[in-house]
Amino acid sequence: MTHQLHLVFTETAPLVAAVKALRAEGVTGMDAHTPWRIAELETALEPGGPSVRRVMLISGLVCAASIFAFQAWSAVWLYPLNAGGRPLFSWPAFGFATFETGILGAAAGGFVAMIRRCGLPRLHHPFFITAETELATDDRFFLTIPGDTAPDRMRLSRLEGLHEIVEVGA
Amino acid sequence: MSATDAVLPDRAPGRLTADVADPLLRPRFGRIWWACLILCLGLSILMVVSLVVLVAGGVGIWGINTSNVWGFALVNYVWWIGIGNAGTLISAMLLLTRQRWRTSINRFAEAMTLFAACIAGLFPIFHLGRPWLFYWLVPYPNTLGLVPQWRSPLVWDFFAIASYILFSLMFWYTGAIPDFATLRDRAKGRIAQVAYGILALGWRGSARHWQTWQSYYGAMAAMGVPLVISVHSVVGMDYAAGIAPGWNESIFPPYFVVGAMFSGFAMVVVLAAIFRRALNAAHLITDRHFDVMGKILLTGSLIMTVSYATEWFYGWYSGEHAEQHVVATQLWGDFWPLYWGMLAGNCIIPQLYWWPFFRRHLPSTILIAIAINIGMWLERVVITVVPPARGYLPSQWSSYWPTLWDWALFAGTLGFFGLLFTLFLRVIPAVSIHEMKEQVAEEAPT
Repeated sequence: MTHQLHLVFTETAPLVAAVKALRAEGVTGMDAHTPWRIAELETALEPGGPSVRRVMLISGLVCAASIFAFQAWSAVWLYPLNAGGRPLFSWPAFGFATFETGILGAAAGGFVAMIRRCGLPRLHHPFFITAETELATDDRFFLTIPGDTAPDRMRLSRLEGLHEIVEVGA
Repeated sequence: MSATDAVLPDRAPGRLTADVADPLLRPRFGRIWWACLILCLGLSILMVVSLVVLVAGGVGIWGINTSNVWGFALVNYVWWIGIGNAGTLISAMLLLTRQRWRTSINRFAEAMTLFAACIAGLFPIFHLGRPWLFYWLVPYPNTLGLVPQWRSPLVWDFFAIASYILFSLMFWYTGAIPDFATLRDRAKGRIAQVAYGILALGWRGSARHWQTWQSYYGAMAAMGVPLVISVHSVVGMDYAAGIAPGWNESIFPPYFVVGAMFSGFAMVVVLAAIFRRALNAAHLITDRHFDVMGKILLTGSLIMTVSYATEWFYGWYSGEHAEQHVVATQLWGDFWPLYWGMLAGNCIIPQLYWWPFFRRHLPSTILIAIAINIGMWLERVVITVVPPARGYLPSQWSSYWPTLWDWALFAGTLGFFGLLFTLFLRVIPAVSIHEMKEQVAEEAPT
């Protein structure tokens, strides 16, 4: 497996500061692993990628339009039924299934997009190779740097608030 | 601010993880938990027996008749779906309005939603008489060339409930993925590691994960609020789309939505108290939470009171004899004890929440919340049973009495809900660990 360094922090502020400092020095390929969401990291690391919400919007609209079209087609052409003299194209009554299905489509499309964008499910990621990283879901903050782009140990050890450095891989 | 006034615990993040996660990973869970489990299991067996007898004997074993074709099936459906609506509504609305106290209650409120909505769905399906044909509500290719009747509220209901259950499941599961990862990493036993590992899907809490998660979760919350409102509006339309006096009213959708939030919040208060006691979590669910929820229930009670008064006004103002007859029957007819019980539970008793003592004194607040739940159940009985029994034609007039099997199924579903909730408390973090740590960290002095 690839050589990686995990810089371990016990507080969020030094982690964010370290990310900014190392990016300014040209270090690339960094990722942070934290027990909770830290909004500043998203601007500092810029993980990027396509928006999940765009997928939700498109899948929601497609599902809503499809079920509406299906209702209209089936009520007007496939099985026209005179119910109390109401028009066959009773579009207000079609609104319920359209809305519910649209929301469900957006939720389901977004869920799949979120899972894919996060690269999940993946139960064997190299991040899990050391037992220390189990604390990344508790109260430790990990900054992962690829071994080939990492500065030397002397530089890293000068980072403020750094708790320890864990080296993994060959 | 004293400890009981805080909405967030004054603890280090690591300690918070231990507080919520460790009780789940303990091999034993105490006698009270087992006692609850056995009691609920017994009632769940009663539910299964009731359903088997129902399928064997047909819906005639219930107290329904040609006027009251729905009876308890609709009463319990609306009551359960009302409770089921509240969890996602509470969770989504409090997230969007950035209420800090949300993190203590949102997870089990969402679980409550899922369980209650699933139970609610049982009633209309089993009321079909031939429940194994419920899939006829789904538009699927068939040799008859038939499609559902899109103008029927039953079909709207099917779409609303099915969408809502699936949506709530995704919302709840997405919120819990990071907590499953926490349990995976803390678990010592192999079975727990594998089970939570699979549920966590390999979550690593990377910056990209969190950014994507937040984007999706926030959008889900934003969609959740209109969805919940639509779902219970559709339930209101089940009535409003009918022509029975007392049902054919445009107030029903908003009135039902508020009623759902009201009964659901009352159930959250009861469950929060049980959870607080069961996990000894007075620092996670503080008196302040009950205080805030008491205020919301008080507001709900006032809106419900206005809704009832509006119904009386409509009855009088319509000039329609049948409408007035329904209102008079509700107030003074055979079912008057139920109607006045409803007014007591939903309008009068919750007024105690004006006093801070009743909002913060746990036994009092629980009793008031239970009174609201009973009141809301009685409301559904009165709404469902009286109007069809006092229709336009005197020949339609009848009465309705539930049979033993009606009661058995209702009691059974209460037990089944309890069973699911008891198991939930044992295996899934009842408080959102990561959100609570995030908020505690944000509040901490730097």
